[in-house]
Amino acid sequence: MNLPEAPHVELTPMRLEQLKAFVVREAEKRPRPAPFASRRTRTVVATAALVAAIGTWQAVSLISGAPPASAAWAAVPAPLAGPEVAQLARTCTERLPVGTTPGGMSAPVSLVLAERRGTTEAVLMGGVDSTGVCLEGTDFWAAGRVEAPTLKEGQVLAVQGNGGNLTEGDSARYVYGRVDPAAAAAVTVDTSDERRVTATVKDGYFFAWWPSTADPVAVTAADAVGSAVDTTYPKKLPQAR
Amino acid sequence: MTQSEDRELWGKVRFGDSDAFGLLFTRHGPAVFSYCFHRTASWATAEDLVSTVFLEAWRLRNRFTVEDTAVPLLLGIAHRVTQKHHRSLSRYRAALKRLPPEGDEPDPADRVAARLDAESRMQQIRKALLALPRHEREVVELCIFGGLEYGAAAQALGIPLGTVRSRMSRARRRLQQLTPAERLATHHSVLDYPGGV
Repeated sequence: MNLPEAPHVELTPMRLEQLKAFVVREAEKRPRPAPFASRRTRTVVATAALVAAIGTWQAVSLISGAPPASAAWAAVPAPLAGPEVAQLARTCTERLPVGTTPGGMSAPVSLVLAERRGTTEAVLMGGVDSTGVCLEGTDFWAAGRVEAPTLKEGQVLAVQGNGGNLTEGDSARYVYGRVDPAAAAAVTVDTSDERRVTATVKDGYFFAWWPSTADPVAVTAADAVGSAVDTTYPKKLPQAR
Repeated sequence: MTQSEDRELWGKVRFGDSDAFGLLFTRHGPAVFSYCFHRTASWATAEDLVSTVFLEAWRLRNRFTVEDTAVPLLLGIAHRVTQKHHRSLSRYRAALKRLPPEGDEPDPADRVAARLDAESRMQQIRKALLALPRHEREVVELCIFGGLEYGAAAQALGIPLGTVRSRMSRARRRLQQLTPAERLATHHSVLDYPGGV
């Protein structure tokens, strides 16, 4: 037994364009996504997407809603150790997005480094096919992941994660990537709001974040005596809409 | 555009990239509109709903990931939005008031007549579909009107693949039992539907 044939309906190209313009315009008026968890808990979720370009990867992370800016923050990180790091790593593993690249970024990740800036703790997780970072604040958290970063031969410094593209309110940005441990011992990040942020460096990875929407202007690797050995200028991300 | 580009587009959308969102609309807006029309049998309502579906997708963008194509995600949202579309539209009522009227196009009379005819035919189909329980009807709608394979329909509805199969099977049997007066034979039918993966 058959149903009648459903009529084929199609918007005119002009109408389709009108509707597209409408939803894009309205979307731009609503930059903040719905909270992941209940509003009561004010849990804030950050997500990561991957922008694949030939030969390069750039991660964009969003930390929407509340507050890193209002929390204590330090340009120079403090090391983090102990049982809480293992818990942070476990939580981070659960929160990292998966399946956003062709490879799926599904291989396990393990802890590379952990740091604290003020009241916010962070871990960077590394795996065969991806690298991820998580921030854990008093009332927010963030998690983002990119495909496993690598250094090309002869390269000292490479920024792979460049988080940001914030929408409104207080927010945070971060950068992370790889650094050649044989050539550099420290990494600093200069931001467009004139911060100089010391990155945590460990096992060939570096990571830094700051509580503002400011872009990273320059990322500089220095050797053990503080002499700059390489500087890279991260591509500016599209401005928040 | 390939499916992986859909995934990449969605990744950008999750970060608030409205350009990527616009591309997603260009690619899947027609399918979402068609589905909304088939669910409501109303051209004007479907126009409002396609906008609502995409604005809901935007609002909830952090809750979803796209594995291959964004169609199951969008039709899943469309399914929920059209289920209680009066309530869904109320969230965006103020915005929808800003939706511009359709521009002048040639032969508006023909266009209006064609739309009325489509609405009338779709209302007949919806009456026939009332022979099915809601859970079976929604599977039929996603697979037939939305063109989804079983796996994608399962994804859109958030139910197991086996459940989609069994509901579709039961829907077929029920529709076979329709009286001749209820039969409106065509080549696009539930019974002819080859099924999904």
